[in-house]
Amino acid sequence: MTASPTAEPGTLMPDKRATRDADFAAYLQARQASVLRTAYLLTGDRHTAEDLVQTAFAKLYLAWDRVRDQGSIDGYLRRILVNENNSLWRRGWKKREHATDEVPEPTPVLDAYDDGRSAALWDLVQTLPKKARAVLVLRYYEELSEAETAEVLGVSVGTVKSQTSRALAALRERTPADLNPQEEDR
Amino acid sequence: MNDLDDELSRTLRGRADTFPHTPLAFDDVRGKAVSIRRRRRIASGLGVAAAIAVIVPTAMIATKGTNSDGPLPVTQPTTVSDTADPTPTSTPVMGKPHALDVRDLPTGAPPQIAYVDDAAATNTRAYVVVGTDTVKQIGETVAITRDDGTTLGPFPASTLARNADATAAAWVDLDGQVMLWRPGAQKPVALGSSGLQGALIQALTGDCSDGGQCSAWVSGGKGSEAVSTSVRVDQDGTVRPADPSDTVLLVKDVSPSGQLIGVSERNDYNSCSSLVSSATQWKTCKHTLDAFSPSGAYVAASDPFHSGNLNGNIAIYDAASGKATTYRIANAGDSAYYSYFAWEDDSHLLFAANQDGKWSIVRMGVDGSMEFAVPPAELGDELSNPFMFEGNNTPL
Repeated sequence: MTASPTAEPGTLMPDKRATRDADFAAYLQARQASVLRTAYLLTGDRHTAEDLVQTAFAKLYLAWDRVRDQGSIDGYLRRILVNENNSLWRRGWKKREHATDEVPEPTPVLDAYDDGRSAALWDLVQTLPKKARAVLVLRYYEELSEAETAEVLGVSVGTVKSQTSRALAALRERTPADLNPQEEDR
Repeated sequence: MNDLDDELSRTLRGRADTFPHTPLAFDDVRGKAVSIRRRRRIASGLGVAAAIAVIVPTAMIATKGTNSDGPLPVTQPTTVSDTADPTPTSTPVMGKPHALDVRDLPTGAPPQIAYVDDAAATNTRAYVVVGTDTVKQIGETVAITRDDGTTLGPFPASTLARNADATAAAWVDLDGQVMLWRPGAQKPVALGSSGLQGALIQALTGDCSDGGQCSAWVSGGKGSEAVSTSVRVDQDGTVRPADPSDTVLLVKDVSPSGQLIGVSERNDYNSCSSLVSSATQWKTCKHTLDAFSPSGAYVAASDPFHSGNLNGNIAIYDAASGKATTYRIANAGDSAYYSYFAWEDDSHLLFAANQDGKWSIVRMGVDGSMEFAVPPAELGDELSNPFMFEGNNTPL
């Protein structure tokens, strides 16, 4: 029996499914920590990040054969992650659920010269709209190019440029002047 | 990079690198995957020939919509009332769903409504034609192109809609302000502020001419807690709750006779939708009620929980009875998923389907019959929907 291109796990023969699951488990093991870090930056919340990662990997699992054959697993997973987090369906409802953690948020390791600016900047990042925040995370943490970021978000390169510019401008408006020499110069 | 760029990179790395990693087990992921797949099936009632809606006279209803985090009915019959003894006037029954399999369909006439096939490539989120003007949403802006080729805009916008007779378009800007465009105008006019965060325009109804009575129906988050709510912004600037009965929290559409449909309850895994009017009310937890047919006789419906880009449930309900005239469900392995649908006329729904890596536009009748309006072609991956219909595309 040959699995169809869109076959889901339950439709495969047992030996094929075992191989498939082993491959997926290896990928999950290798990538989950990195994906969770990105999810945390996207959501700013531990519980939501963990839920997001689990959902993203589950959807990847359902599409594993098709995506693996295309050799674009990382990109596909990243797109699921961002799209899921940006989903209009989730907007508004999630905020109402008070997804707070019983487990305290991690305390970041601050550079020796950091006098709280990092914490202030992180607080500002969290005030940005989800899509703007996603652009910054992909560009400044994942270090994707504008074209790669556009691909993940399903938007044009021009939109990535304008979103980045707008998000940075919003941060500049509210960032202490010593982080923003352009402001000082005006 | 300047100092802010450097600091931003360092801040994000600092936050991420110290984030504790809670290992995610393969069994947990697989369990979630099974749950997602099962939810699609259960939501469509596979093997459950259950009553899906109980209709009661509005006068008997004391229901109040809840944005509950608690369990919602999934396979149980649903009622619209939490009164002690609601007396149903009918108990329509939904049969088994058919598969959402669009392989080997016959090809019929091309779509009778306008559409584009480069929506993903051009980042087109919506477009409407009002009079001789085309209003297109690209990303989070709209631009107006007049018949003489001149353009106006771009203007910030989250979503775009037009009224039924295609005489006006409206959008919500990123601050929740509703903007109205009438063909021939010099510039868009502000209808009023929804006062909501993350506001989306769901429908534009009525006569939007000068002195007319038109209303924009907007959903979003209210207050500091961003509580999901919907409001109606009238042409005179009046803003009022969309559903005075407070049943529908997230309005999805409004019929010509003023009936409302939308989400009335939701938790992390499911939702219930209601139809509300002065004469009757019914509710289903099998689907999200999304769009009235042009006359308001039918309602197109989608997955009860939208997660990701594609949907696996599609149904059409009789608006008067609350009974599904057809519904289809994506099953494992041999099914299509779809992005958007739009009513072609009062008895046919068009939806953009993806199956076996190919996109097509499928025409589905209210009886469930299907044919291709645009045959399958390789037009991008499943996350890149190429098709966008003119008018109001749903579900969002």
